[in-house]
Amino acid sequence: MKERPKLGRGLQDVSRFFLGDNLREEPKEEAENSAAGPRTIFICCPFSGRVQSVVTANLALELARNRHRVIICGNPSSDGISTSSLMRSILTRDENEPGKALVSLYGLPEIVIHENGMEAPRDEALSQIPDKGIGSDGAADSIILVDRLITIELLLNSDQSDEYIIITKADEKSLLQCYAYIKTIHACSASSRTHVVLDDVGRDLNGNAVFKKLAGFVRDHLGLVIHYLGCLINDEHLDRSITEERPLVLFAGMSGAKDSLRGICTSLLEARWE
Amino acid sequence: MRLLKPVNMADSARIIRICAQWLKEGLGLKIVEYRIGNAFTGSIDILAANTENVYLVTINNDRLSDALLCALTGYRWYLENRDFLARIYQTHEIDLSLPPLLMILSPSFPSEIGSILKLGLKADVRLFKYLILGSEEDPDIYVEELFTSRLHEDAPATGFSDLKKELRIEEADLTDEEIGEFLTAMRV
Repeated sequence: MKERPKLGRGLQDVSRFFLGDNLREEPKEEAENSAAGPRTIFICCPFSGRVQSVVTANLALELARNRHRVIICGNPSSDGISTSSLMRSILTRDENEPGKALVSLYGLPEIVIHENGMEAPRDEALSQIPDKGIGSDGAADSIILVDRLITIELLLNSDQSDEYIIITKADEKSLLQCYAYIKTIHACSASSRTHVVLDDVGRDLNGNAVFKKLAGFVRDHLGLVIHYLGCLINDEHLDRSITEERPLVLFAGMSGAKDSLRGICTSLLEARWE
Repeated sequence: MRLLKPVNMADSARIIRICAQWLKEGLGLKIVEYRIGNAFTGSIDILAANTENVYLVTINNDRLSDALLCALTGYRWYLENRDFLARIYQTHEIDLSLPPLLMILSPSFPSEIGSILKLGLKADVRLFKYLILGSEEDPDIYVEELFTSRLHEDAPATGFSDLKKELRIEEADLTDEEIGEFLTAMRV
């Protein structure tokens, strides 16, 4: 049953003209958001499929810890590492649905992983996401992470407005590659949003300062705002988590890499776009 | 031991001659002309050359802002009057087809001047800090290079096609100029 407005039209106008400048329209915005569907985030690391899968796997777990429903569309990278291989120790497989795996952690929403093969085009990968698990009531909380090889050519064939996390190193060439991706993403869809993660900046460089230069150039030349998620720290815990196929954020003790991945997730959830 | 004290020299023509001597002896440049152009349309304190560049030299002995404006108007004057200069000077005196390079000598510069000029100018720039020491009758000059921008060295002869190929960004619609500006901005 449709809820009737509590104020009559005359009182609404009184409220508008004498008590504030704007009509209250928040309920309408909420309704629009819930109809918007799940947030789709493409994880893009041009220099390493391994790093891309590490970020995807750990980000998925952190998002689940923050009570988000997560679906991963993954491909193995050229070195054979994929999101599901990094989570093998906590993975369960559905024998009836090959190519689908689940991560079920007590008290947290299930993480669904679809391994759809190397050559599946981007839109086909998205079409394989079933409605199951993203009911209309939970759509706003659902996040789809896409972990597959993303090239400039692939981006050019896309006109969908999505969210991207670009992982880049801090050297000039890698930053130029990152800039090329940002330019292509926004040339294809002006409303796309881009986050940047700096990988292994090291002690001599300040990640914030590097990002500031990149963001300044992007703003001045493309008129765009990009968002910084933080630096990914590499340490022995990270290497061990890959070798042992046990996700870092779940199993590692005190680790700079683990803290950096958690920080990246927090920044992603707190990102606000103007 | 000889203690050298800075000399506050007011005679700009004399300072220019001292600097010109250093350009010849210190940098091996050939001095082609002094005080070329005029204050209204733009002027160059020293026009010099070597086998790589034409040097448009401005010597500051007062306010840097005035010297910068003088250097920029002199650069514009040079570009507008290059054909005229080519009729005056023989090729063996100065090869005006060589890329021009702005050179500014000043007793001091603000710290961010290099990055500002690098981003704002299409020409190469060299900045030198100088100090005149000793006495007015027998001056010595101390010169220290503070900044050099070499735009043409950033862009290899073949452009950035190899770099684009290496990074697999050939189809990203980046121009060579854009890449050059990007690399410069990241180095500042």
